[in-house]
Amino acid sequence: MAQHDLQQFQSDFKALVLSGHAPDRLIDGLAIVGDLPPKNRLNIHRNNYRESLSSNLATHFPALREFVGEEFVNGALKEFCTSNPPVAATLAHYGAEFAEFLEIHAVSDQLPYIPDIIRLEWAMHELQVSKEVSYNVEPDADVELSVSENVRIIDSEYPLMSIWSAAMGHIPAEAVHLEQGGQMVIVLLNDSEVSLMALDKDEAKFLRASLDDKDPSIHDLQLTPEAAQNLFMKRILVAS
Amino acid sequence: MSNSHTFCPSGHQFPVGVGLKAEHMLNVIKTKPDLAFFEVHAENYMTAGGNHMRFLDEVCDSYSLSVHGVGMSLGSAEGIDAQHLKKFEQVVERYKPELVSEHLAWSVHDGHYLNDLLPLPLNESTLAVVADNVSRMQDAVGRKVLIENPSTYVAFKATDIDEPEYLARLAEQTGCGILLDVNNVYVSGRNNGFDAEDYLARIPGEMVGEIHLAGHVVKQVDGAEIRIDDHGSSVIDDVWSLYRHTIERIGARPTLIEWDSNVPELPVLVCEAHKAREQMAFASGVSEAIHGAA
Repeated sequence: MAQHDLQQFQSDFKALVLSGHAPDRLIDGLAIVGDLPPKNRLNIHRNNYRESLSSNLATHFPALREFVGEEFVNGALKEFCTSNPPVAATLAHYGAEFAEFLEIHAVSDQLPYIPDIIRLEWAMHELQVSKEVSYNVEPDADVELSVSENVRIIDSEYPLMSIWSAAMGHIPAEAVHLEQGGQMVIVLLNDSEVSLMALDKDEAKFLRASLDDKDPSIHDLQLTPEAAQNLFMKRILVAS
Repeated sequence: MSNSHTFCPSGHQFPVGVGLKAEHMLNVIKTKPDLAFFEVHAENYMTAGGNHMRFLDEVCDSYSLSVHGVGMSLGSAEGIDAQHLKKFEQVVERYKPELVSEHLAWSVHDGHYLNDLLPLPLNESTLAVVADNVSRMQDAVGRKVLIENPSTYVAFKATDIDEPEYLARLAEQTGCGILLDVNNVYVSGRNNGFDAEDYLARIPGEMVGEIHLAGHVVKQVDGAEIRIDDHGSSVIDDVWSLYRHTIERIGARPTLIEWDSNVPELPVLVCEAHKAREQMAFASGVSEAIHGAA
């Protein structure tokens, strides 16, 4: 087997793992051993790929599992893994596109807040494997503020914090009222711990406007609205 | 019998360890179980930060470490990924493990990682590819790497070198060592119809730097038996027997219990590691109870 043959073999094997289709030349190259046919043996590797990746990803989405069940999550993740294979062996960042993947799934018609639940849980995971950035907590008066790199923002049209809290059993499901409207949820990495908080309407409005302007910098903390000062106290805005 | 292995932490004549699981980290730090070393997958520590990295720093204050790669894809025809190699090098630099290992397998092709230890035909052509990749990895990390025999489920017509000879020649050509997974030998032997005892007898003992033990699952597919290396249960008696015979032949070696699915509480893993230590001592001719210093 020359090197280009090994390339072809690995290309064929990859096709089997991702699509389930084994090219004839791959099957023809297998020796017959034991009672189990070669194609069934090859499928072990397809199953290994789908099972190991999906079960690893499933651990990031406990609230999602509560909403749609273990079986649905496992099935959806297996579909995701075959259509979006990892591009690196470091799997900590694999799965970031799962929310977009599920956004066009029928389940999101019935439970439209599901993609935001995924975004929230992914943000928690992402910060758990991030390096915490240190900032000056007592800035000078003439300070420039910006959004902390230790923060992820999920601006949802649904009461996301309440929905997530109910899924995790922190509040009763009856306490969630979809008609209360959207919530902006902040995921914050602080002192090596990841926490969640929902912003009040003024804080969310201020942060949303800053982000929409694509210029979250604020040049004088003393002259900013109370909402901005609150965001600074909560370590969401930081001194650049 | 050769005792030329290089890893022998003080106080541990018969060094045993377990794979370090995230869910056990705090318990390990708090209870300091009686083990010589822990093993981690390198890829889990290639992140920018996270508590798991800080906790591993603490674990390394009390234990020796083995860094085990699962994603280097040493059998890739296209060569190994420079970025991944750099990250692996950084993990080794940060944690300074006693042992570094990878697999005789491939998992990367054309920009995608297939998250499995995929098999390759064993012949002169693939040996040249693997040897090049192993040499490149060893040059990058600046040390000997142990190469593990994987569990296999398929056999190839293009194979004309058997696995013990392939591993021995790879070690001769590159200076790498062998990480001998006794459970994998047993699983592959049962799946592919070769004799595990014969395989183990042909592995050059002086090249073995570490031994892995794990459980596996037996499945029936259309009435045919297949054994899957799932690391999800205790080591079976047949594998313990092969392990004892291996130790009798090659001498004591650092031995690791792998348990990666259906992970039990930490004491269950520690108990399994202590069993390995007793078996290693027994097979080495030391019959009294063995107690190592943590």
